[in-house]
Amino acid sequence: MNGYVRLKVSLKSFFMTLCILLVLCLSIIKSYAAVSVVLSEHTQTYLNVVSAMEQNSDHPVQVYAISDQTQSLASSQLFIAIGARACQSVLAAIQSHQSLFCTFLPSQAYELILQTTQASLRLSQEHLSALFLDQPLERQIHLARLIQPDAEFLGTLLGPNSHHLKPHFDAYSRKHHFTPISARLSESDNPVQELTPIIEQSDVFLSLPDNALFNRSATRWSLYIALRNKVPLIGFSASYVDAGAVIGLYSTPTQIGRQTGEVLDYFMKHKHLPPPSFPNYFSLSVNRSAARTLQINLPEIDEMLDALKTSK
Amino acid sequence: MTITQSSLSSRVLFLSLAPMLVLTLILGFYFTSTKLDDSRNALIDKGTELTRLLSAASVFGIFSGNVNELNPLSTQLLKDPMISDVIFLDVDKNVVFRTEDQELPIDLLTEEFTIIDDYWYFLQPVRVGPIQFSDNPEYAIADTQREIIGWVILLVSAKPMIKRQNHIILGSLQIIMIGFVITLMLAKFFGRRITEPIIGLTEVIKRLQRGELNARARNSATLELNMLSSGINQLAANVQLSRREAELRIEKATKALSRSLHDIETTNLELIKAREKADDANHAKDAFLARMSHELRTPLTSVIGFTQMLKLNNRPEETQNYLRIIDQTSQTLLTIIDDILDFTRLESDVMRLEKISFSPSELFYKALEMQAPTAHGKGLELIYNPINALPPYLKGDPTRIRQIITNLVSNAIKFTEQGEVIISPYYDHKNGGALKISIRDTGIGISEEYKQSLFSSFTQADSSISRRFGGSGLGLAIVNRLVNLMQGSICVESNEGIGSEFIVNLPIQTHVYRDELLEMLPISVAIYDPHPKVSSALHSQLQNVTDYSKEFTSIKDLLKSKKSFNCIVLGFPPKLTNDRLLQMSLRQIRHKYKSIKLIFMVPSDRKFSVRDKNTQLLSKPVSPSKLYSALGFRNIQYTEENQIIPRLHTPLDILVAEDNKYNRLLINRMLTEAGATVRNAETGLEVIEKVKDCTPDLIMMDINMPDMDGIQASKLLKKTHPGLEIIALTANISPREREALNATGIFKVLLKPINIDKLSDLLNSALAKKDSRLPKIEIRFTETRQLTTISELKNELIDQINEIEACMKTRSFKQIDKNLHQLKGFSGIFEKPEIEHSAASLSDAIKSDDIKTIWKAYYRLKRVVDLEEA
Repeated sequence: MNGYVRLKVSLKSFFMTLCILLVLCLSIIKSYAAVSVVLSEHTQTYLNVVSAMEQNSDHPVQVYAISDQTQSLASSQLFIAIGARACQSVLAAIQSHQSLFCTFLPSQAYELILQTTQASLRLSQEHLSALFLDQPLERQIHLARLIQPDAEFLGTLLGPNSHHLKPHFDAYSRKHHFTPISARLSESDNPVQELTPIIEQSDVFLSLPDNALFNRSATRWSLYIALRNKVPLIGFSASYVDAGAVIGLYSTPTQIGRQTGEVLDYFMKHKHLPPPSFPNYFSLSVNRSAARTLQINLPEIDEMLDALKTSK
Repeated sequence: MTITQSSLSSRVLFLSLAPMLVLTLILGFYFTSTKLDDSRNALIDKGTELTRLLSAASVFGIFSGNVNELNPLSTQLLKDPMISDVIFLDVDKNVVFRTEDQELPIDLLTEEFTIIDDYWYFLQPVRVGPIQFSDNPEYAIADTQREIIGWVILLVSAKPMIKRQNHIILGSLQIIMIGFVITLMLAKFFGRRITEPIIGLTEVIKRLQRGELNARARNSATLELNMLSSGINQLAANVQLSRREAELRIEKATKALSRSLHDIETTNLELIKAREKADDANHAKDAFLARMSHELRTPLTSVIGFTQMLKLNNRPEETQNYLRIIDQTSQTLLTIIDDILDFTRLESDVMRLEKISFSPSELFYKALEMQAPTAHGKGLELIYNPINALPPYLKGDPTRIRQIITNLVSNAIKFTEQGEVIISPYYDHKNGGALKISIRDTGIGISEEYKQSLFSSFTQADSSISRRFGGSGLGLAIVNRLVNLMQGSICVESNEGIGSEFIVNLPIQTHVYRDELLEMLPISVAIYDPHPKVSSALHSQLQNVTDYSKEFTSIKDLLKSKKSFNCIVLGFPPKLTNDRLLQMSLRQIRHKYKSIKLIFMVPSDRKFSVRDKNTQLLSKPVSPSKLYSALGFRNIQYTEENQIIPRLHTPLDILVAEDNKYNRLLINRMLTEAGATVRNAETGLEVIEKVKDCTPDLIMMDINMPDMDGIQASKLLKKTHPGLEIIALTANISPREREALNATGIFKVLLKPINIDKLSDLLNSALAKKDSRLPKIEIRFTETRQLTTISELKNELIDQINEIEACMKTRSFKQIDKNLHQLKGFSGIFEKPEIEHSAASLSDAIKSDDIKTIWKAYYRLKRVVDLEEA
């Protein structure tokens, strides 16, 4: 009789423990489901971001495409939107108690999203932040100086989405002992006509990523005119360098993902997001052929990277 | 070159050329058109490509409106002779820059390239687009955003292309022609390489066909043809070898054949010699048999004849006894000789059976008549008791059947001491007809062990039989062989001490003839014979032809009978020795019957007589015809001397060919007496002449005649008159002569001395042939000398001997042959063996050419003839 009772009690305890464990697991699962990553496209570039993020964070995330994000909306604590489209999509649907971190998108695109999406007003800065794809202006100007230590004039073309950077451009140019030269290109302007005098006057031309300028082929004309005038052009992507830019300053998806992982950890630790920032990690790419054509002796890339990292 | 060869070459050439030519043309055309297309396409591609490049290069110049940017581009392109002009247009298709000023049909240029006149217009838009930042999709821009900022037109002249195309066509044609020529040469070359070996092989085959087996084919470079030529060579070698071997074998075989042929020839020669020897031996045997028959029988005949002559004269009883013994033994010896000769003939298989019609009942009676004296001499009754009515005529060999009966009856008589010998014939009409004869005796019988060898030759029961009864032992053997020759059968049933019965079965057909119907006599006849079977047989014979007949067991009973009779037939036992019983019986009967006809049947071995004019004596056994005649049947004439001379109802025209005068005379008389019309001929030529004048019903042809003999004449006559009946006459016939006669179509032979019965049969046969409705006749002559007189015979003898004497005196021995032939002829007919023998001796002496022998033989002949004349 006693043995039977004892067995009964043991079984009861076992089942209770099992239930507790189950609840805990569910909690863990639930807690694990607190971070949702939404991709603008389910392509390798974005997955590389996710991969780098996961490698740099201890916290598991659930990855969704834009179409699947609604499944995670109820339970996610933090949304990490990779790309401008994902950011815009999540921001439109997010709840106020939820946080959104947009990463891997141009700063101009982020600003535009904030301006156009009313949901951004619901979220505080601690719940809405971003990591930009493009480089800070000062870093780009610093690079200009590094590649042309004797250059005097630094030229650039500002478009509708980047014209607000002019004061910053002028300031940082002067900081690095450049004389800034810029032109503003509107919809009706002929990019060639606007670019030609700027580039002809510049010793170094800085090409800024502006969507409006992209449409006008300003990047192409910039490159063409710069090459014709033997002016080194600093590009903002590896493709630009391949197209002919002497040097390019950019952050790779892996670097963005890495920094995003840090942000995640930060969030998990502090329960709020850091303010929007430019990437801490970046890369340089050089077109040696263009450099030879322009007869420019560029320093070693590591030197330039070190110099740029030092000057943060 | 033959048509076939040229066809093969042409065919090979055609087969090689045609496809290659077609292929060349197709390929040439294809490649030419391809090249032309390529040229055109190259132009198009080049134009398009240049225009695209120009478009890309002129982006900045057109976008900036800077003509100086465009000029170098145009200049560079115009260096290409194909390019006639480079035109730059703005977005509204206004000319920005061009070097030439010819008319530009802008509105027609809607496609990437347009052909107007001899010019190709290549049109490309000038687009400008941003740099594609493919490494970062956030910087990517859609393709549709590339805007058209202008147009470029490249004007290309078609003339160089046309010129080039012409060059291409010309070049292709040249290549095609070259290809064709090379193809032709290659085809010819390879065709020759194929046809030449084949032609070579064909030649080799032809040579092989002609027999040149040493022909060989050359090797070929082509594997298959090489194999073919090797095969042909091998075949030729094999054929050559086989032929050589065959020739050798043929040679060997020919040699062996020649040897065999030589051996066969040698063997043939030997066989021919052996055959000739055998033939000679056969001839010798035949001649021997004939001579023996003559030599043995002739002296015996003389002995028998002279003995009988002596018996006729009155001699003392002892002498009579001696004469009787001589007569008996001579007869016995004659019988033995005849048996031996017959047996020899049978063993030699030379005996031929006749197939003529004969009366079976008469045949039996004749045979019994001959044996009656012997039987009656022993006191044995010889009874003829037919079981059923025999057909009136049968078709067979009466001579041999009589011989069978005679042998069996004589055997029965020999081995019977007392009692009777009964002959019971029976005719079975079934299965084509068969004559069955039973001869039963009450003799000593035959033991079982002897029955096995009963029909073997030279066998008698034991030596005691031979000693007691004598005989050659051939009688039954001869009977057996004759029965077998007739395809019949014989068997014997016997009990020792009781008697024997021989049963002979001979398949003999009846001869269809008009039955001779005897009229019924309205008389009543009483019959008595001490032997009840004789009496019964007589009764059987008479009951159907008389009104009434009755048999009695004694004379007493007969005389006691109340029935009145017209005739009494009385039989006397065989042991009757004198007339006393006859006289006594006569007295008894005459006591009651004063004048009725009496017929006494007496034994045949002695002479009896009664003095009563109404009493007739007949020798036993009495044949039905004798009896009927005695009783008074009209259509049978019966003379006192047992002669019946019937007459032909329709005269037969008979031609007698016989050179011997007496033979001719005799036959003439016979035939004339029978009512025939007779013509005569003495030679074969005369026969032919007389047949030409008038075809006779029958020819009786002597075989041996001068000028043309009977066989030759018969041959000629049979050619012109194949249906003419010819009967051969000869004293003696050998199997060879018989064969010769058969070959001429003569199967009937009448031996001399002429057998009247045979002559009768032959005449009946001729009658039947003439008209089957004619009744049969029966010629019966027992005494041929009745047809001629003694004086005639004597005169003939004198004539012949005088002629011979004359020839002897003049030493004309060769001429004597004719006379000797005549003498031999009629001496044979008249049974004068001594004259016949003497004439034959003289004939042999003349052949020997010895004068002394000739004269000796002549004197002997003269003595014999003188004796005859006396």
